[in-house]
Amino acid sequence: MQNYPVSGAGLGLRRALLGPLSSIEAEDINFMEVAPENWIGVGGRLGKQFRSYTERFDFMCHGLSLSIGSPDKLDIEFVKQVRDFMREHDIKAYSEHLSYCSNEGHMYDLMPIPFTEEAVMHVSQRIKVVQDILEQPLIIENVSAYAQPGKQMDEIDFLNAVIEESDCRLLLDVNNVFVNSTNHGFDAKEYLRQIPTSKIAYLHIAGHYEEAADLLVDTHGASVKQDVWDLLDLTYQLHGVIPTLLERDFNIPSVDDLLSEIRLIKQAQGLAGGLSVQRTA
Amino acid sequence: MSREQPDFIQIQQEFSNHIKDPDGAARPSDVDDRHMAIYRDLFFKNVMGFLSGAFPVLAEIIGEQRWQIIGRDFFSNHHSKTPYFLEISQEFLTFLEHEYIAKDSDPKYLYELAHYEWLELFVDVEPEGSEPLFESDGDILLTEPVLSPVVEGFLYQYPVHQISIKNSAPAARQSALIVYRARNDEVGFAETNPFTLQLLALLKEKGRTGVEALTKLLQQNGLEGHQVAYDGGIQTLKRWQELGIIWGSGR
Repeated sequence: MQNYPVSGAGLGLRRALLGPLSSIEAEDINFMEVAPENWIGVGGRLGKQFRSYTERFDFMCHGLSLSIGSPDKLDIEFVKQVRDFMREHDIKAYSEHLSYCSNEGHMYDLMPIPFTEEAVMHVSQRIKVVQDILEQPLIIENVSAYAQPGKQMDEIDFLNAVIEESDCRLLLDVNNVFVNSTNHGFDAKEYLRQIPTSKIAYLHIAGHYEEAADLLVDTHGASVKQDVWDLLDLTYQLHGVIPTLLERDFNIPSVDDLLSEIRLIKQAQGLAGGLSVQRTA
Repeated sequence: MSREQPDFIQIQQEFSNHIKDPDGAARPSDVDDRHMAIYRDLFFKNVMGFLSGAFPVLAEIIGEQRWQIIGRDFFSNHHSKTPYFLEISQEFLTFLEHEYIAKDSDPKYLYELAHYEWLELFVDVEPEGSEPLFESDGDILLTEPVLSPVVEGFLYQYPVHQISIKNSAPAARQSALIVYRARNDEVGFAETNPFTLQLLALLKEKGRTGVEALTKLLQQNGLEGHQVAYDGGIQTLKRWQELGIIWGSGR
């Protein structure tokens, strides 16, 4: 049995959801996730509201500013602040994007690392530094991308090389696999098959926006598409029933709508769990 | 071609420099414009969203077109150090103060208004440290007052608290403004005068009762024994206690 930091079905906690979700129980949403960059150093009314959530729910940190693939120096002080924040709120683990968001300063959004051997070494060395400070594995996420500058290897090979070299864990974003398979023309199912099962810590799913038939944008602003639900089912079949979090950052619907999407995750998990029981029987 | 940097880092620099400054820096040769445009738009909209959210009054007064130009100048040229999203507003203030070259058509109060809008955000979210213990209606004259845990006073050259799209060309007028976290965690605003800003500074130094702080203030200003000034100071302290600039007496 694999050791996951959280269990069941989760939801990304946004500031706009602090009010609407105040009466939700941990049976409805099994775990939550926040960007530490939105909450470190925040006191006052927001800080108190946030604490009321970390006292009731299991939490993950899902970072945005670590810039693990950046040409800029790794911000050691920031990593220590994340570590202290995690201890203060009993946050289970820290995931970040296999990406970079800075070059001579922060740019506050994610850019695609060129898939090269040198980049594998650069990123892996920095992941190890972070892991030494955290005293636990960093969990890296496959990111959606709209371009692949300087590409010398396939995305899946780059991802696996970084996991292997740094001994980190993986946040597998199933929507991002679908988005990238469309944008860059690869077989999403084959990609999923090549993921090392034992390295998966948890999953993300989300909705995306169709800019054109061959260009999808990972907006987190719509409900999850059927293609992505199908890939989630396949992921469970290939790798087991894994904790899965719904990301919804824009056009946030009613709590009822969010909960019904989370129930769909639980249904898929239940179905896959039942199947694997049958298989082993 | 220089070999000081690995190739992938040169590509990252090209890619990010083009996102920051599409007109001034070419995109990597292996990325077509249609795909590059997704990044250009996502990044700039994201940054403008942070700026417009933090500086709504300034954005409205400056107008969409000019606001975008200032935003692009910030995004292209300022090296933001903070990883924290709420501190992007602080980076923008630093940019306005040290890097931005104002146009004649810009309002003279541009920086001061931005500072005042930033201050509201700062007071809202700044951590309070330990939870203060206080009697909200206790005697603050003969004991040490417990100040609001987050309270700042500034002397502006314009009445920045009154500026809006309907009042966008006020005459210069010194305005002493206090922004503070009230007892219910809401942000409070109070107009005062330069004299009482000094009183706030003395109270922040700690270790004085209300009367001692007031006495020191009068000494500093050569007003020892001045009964009218003293009475005015007492009234100010009482009003601050009502407003929640002073949360109460210690317990």
